Amino acid sequence: MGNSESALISEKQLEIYQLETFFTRKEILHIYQSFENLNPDKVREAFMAGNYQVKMDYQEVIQLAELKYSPFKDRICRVFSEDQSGDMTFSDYLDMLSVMSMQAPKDLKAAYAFKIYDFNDDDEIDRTDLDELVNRVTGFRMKTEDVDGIVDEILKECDMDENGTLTAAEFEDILHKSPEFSANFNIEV
Amino acid sequence: MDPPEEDSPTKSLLMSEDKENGSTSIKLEDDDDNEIYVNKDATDFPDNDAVDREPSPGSSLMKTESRKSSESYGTFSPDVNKGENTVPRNLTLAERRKSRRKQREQFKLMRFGSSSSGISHFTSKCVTFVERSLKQAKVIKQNHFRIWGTSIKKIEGQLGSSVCTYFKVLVWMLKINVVCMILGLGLIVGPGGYMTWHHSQTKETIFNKDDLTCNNPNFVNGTGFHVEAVNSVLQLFTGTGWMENTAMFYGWYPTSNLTTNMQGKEKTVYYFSLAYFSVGCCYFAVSLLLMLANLSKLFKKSAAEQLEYKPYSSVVFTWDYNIADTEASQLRSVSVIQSLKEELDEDEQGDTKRSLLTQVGIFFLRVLTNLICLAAVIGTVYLYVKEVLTESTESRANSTDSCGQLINEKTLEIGLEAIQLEDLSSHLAAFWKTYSASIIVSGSNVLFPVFFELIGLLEMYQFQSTRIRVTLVRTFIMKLFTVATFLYLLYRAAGPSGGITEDWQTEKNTLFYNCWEDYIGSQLYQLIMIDFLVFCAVLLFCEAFRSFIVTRVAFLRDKIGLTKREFNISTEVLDLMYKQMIFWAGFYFAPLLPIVAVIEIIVIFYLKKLSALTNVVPPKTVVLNHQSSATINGLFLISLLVVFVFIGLVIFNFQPSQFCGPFRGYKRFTDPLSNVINHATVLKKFIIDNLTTTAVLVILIILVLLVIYYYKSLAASRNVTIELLKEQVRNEIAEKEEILHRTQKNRSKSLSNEKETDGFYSKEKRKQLKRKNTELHGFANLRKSDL
Repeated sequence: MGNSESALISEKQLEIYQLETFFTRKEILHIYQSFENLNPDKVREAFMAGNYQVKMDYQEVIQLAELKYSPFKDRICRVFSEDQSGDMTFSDYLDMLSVMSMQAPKDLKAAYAFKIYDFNDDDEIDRTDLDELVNRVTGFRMKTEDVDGIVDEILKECDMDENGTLTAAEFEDILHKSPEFSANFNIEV
Repeated sequence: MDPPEEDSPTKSLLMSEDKENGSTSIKLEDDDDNEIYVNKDATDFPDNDAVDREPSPGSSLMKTESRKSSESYGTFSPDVNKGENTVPRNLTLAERRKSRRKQREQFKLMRFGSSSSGISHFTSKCVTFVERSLKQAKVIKQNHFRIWGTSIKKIEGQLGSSVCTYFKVLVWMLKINVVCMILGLGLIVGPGGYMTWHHSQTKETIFNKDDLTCNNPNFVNGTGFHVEAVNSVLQLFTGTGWMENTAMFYGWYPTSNLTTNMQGKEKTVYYFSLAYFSVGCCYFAVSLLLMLANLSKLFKKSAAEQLEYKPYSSVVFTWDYNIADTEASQLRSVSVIQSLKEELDEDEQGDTKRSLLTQVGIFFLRVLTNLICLAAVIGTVYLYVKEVLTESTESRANSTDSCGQLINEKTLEIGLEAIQLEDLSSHLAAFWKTYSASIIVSGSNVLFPVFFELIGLLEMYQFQSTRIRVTLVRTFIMKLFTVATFLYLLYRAAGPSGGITEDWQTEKNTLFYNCWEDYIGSQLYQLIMIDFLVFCAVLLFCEAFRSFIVTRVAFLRDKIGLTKREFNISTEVLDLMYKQMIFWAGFYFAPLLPIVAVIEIIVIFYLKKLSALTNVVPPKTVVLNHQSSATINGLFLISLLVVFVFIGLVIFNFQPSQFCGPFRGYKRFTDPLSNVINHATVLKKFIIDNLTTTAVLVILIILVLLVIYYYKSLAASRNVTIELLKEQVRNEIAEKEEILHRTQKNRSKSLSNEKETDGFYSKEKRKQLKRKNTELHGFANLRKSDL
């Protein structure tokens, strides 16, 4: 198991990956295996040719089991991909799994969670973002009035300067008070 | 795992960085478990407006990342307080690497600059090596040695993290029981077995209960040894018969001490009786210590977090990304909706109270239902006490007659001959008589929670969570009650009618059993077995069968809406607590019981895992979620206390059996201990005598109270600090807003000569804020690490 993959990724590259992420060598190879499973031929070809920049299309990436059923799969892919389009290279993929691993510190996760929940990419979470968030989390099953009520409550709880939007600081402050956050913001491959 | 040549000198330098660096840093852990300190100092991370990031050397991968990060910052709000409290919002890999490289270079200079002599270099290297290995061990333990870690992950993925609480409790119970098992095996079973073998080798006679003949007036025929194979197997479940003569129970163990002949003199190497008694006490002490350690760890973790719990945000922002299943995802959405709705309802209901009449009516209804519950529990307990006591008095009347003629009624006998109907009913009657106590207890454990749930539905609670909490409390009290009664019955049935009198050796023993500790041990063993069988039956019929039906027969699913059984976390955890109570009760009387306990826990884990993955649906309303580990721990502590009280009563009030066990010939269980103390040197005796006086006790209590008071005031002062810091944060945000507004205003003024309102705040308010800020200036240097 180990040899065939490690032949495709050079030692130097593996070392760099280990420096950059929170994974050990074995875990990186395991992750490579799952990356390859998304489209074996394409990936193998590219890696054997030394092209580590091969991109997996968005459609291929969301075949991953943990992403397939997540209501935030499009946001996750967008946030972690280079060009915000959802196509991920292996390093993007590693980055994503590294941030969402158990070893990543809470601050890092909170920062990325903020990015993920910022649906309109304006660096603050406003009412429309919260609306979308609540809808996605409840599976689009709640009535609009209820959703509005909930968004009001959330803003009441979190928005300290009362300007109607959540900045990254407020968001992270709230996440510090939710103990389940680090346990839940995890993806294990 | 990692190739050893990765031990490059640069990496080893990273360890002790934090001592040199005074400023705050974020600690990241590398795969090599080197701590990588990313400096929070703003000088390392240039202001986001200045996009002059040099492309980080290295692979081309990182170049694109740095570009991406600089672009995506965009209009990031600048931090007012530059310097110590700046937190860079996103730590991309490129930034981390850059800061790491800077740290490395800094450190290199510092390190090799200062340590000139070889010895200090060597010692510092030793220190870093030791630190690194400790850290590595800690991370390995956390990541690789989680017991059943992969299984729990799988379950978490499918059922969510609250169901995992149950399995984590199982893991934790396993740890406690394994420790008890090691204690017991090492200190009791091992030496006991060795001594028995040793004595049989040297053909010394151990005064054994088999030596008793029918002529002895104290002899009560035990169960005898039945040849039929079926019986023997069944006796595995009853703990009587051939099992009584094994190492399983108390009676097998010898009383003598292990001696060696050294230079002609006999020297006692191992006081077996003392060991047995101390290990019995140690079971409780060790369990208590382990639980307290766990509890304190949990408290530390959750104290800060529960200061301010934001219900809405927590539910919405903490989506479980572990879910890898479409069904589970839907279920999670449903439970989110449920909790959100509850929160909404709570807030609404807080405003609209019920009318006075309804409130009074509900109050009386609840009083009534509580009385019903109490009556049901007491009624069951009374029935079963009456049943068991009458049975035992009957047996008492019958068994003391002759010897060898009458068979103890506790044995279940099913002959291999043809069973006729009359025989069947009598067999059933015998079956019932044998197992009645255990069956009633196990049955009530299963039926009462259902009963309490129904009553809870009647009581018209406003919120689901209150209803579930009330049911939880009732079930807990019921279980405590049941176990306490069971133990009390054992106390009554096994103990001598009188207390310990002076002529206890010559007095005719009115003991019912010749070895009452064995009786208690076997009753508890029986209870454990029956409970396990009931558990398996429930799994089979309520969960597996029901899920089988639900998946095959569409009619039930669609029309009636029958679903798979919900995994009721609170009931299951209380069941585990009950099992652990019985284990603790039995450890003293059956030294092999820890092994049984460990095996049972392992089997339960795998059975429950199988059931959870296929037959069960996660609960909609969760009361015992993974935050409530502290509550669960507390419940276990209370149950330990209850068991300890009873077993303590037994140990300290009864006299040991004369003819079996390691306390033969002693008047009390505590005699070996007092013997050893009395024979100890004068100094030791003096110390021990003085240690147990009341003065020492009072001093200890005062010390403990002082320590508690100290920690309490520390916590209070930290709360005050938290409030002040929060205030400061609010003020800073307001100030920042004002500055933004002002700059915008200035810009717009220069562009167009419109008149605008004079800034965000009036002059007075601004002065106020400034004053407040200078007041709080002292706290500006406080960091999170100081809290």
